[in-house]
Amino acid sequence: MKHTHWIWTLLIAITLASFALTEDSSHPWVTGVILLLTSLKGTLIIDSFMELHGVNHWVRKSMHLYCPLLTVSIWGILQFQ
Amino acid sequence: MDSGITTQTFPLAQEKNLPGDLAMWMFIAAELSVFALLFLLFTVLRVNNAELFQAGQQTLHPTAGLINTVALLSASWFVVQAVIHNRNNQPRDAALWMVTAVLAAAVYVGVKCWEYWQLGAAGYDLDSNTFYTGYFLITGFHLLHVVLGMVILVFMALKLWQQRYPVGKTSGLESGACYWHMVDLVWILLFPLIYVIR
Repeated sequence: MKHTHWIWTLLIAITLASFALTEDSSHPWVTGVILLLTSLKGTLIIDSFMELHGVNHWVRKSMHLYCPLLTVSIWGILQFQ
Repeated sequence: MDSGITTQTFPLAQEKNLPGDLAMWMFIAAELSVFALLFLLFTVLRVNNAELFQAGQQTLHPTAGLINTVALLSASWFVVQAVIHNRNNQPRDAALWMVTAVLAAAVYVGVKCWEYWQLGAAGYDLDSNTFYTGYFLITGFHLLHVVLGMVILVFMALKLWQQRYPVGKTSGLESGACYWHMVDLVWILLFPLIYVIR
């Protein structure tokens, strides 16, 4: 629970960065970047805000799988568009 | 016979415990699974109705989505501050941080209601087409979670004010905080899917 203000700042910065990509987000690689940034935000929330960093439990492992699995699945489905 | 040698045990590097109750984590896992299914369904519907979804997205307000993201991330940070202050034996300060989190969440609710009102005034509702069905169902379901989260935050603020989360008895506070962070996490995934990705 240290330096959480920096984590918050980083989360806002990533949000603004991905929001800035809205106009170009029809390109598959831009969509990929946005989803990658989303997954990174999820990891920051899980480790820092939920305090799962350093916890050796299946809950942390499952939580860390959630965002990457979901974003990769969404990106994969979107490629059929 | 005493050899004069004393044995001393050294604790292993302290392993952090899971914050909150395991039951709450099971509930969070169930909630996240439901949202994951909704997100995947929305994505599949989008692929099958690309033009309809693009037209629908044009009627949304991405800036409102951005404001809501900042509001929820801030609310989460305020909750973290409440947990930290309670841990530092400052429960009254913690209660005030929790109230601040409720206010940030109220911004989210206000903006979301404004969005619904705007769409309603333009003649869009749950039955308009597949996009709006998905949009209202997913965001509405999430909004319900935000409102429930706010009720939990108010409850925890009251308990913090009454100093009822002493050291060693903070499991309820941590569980409630993790529920709120789950609500935030879901929005983090929902925001690009509905507002950002074209």
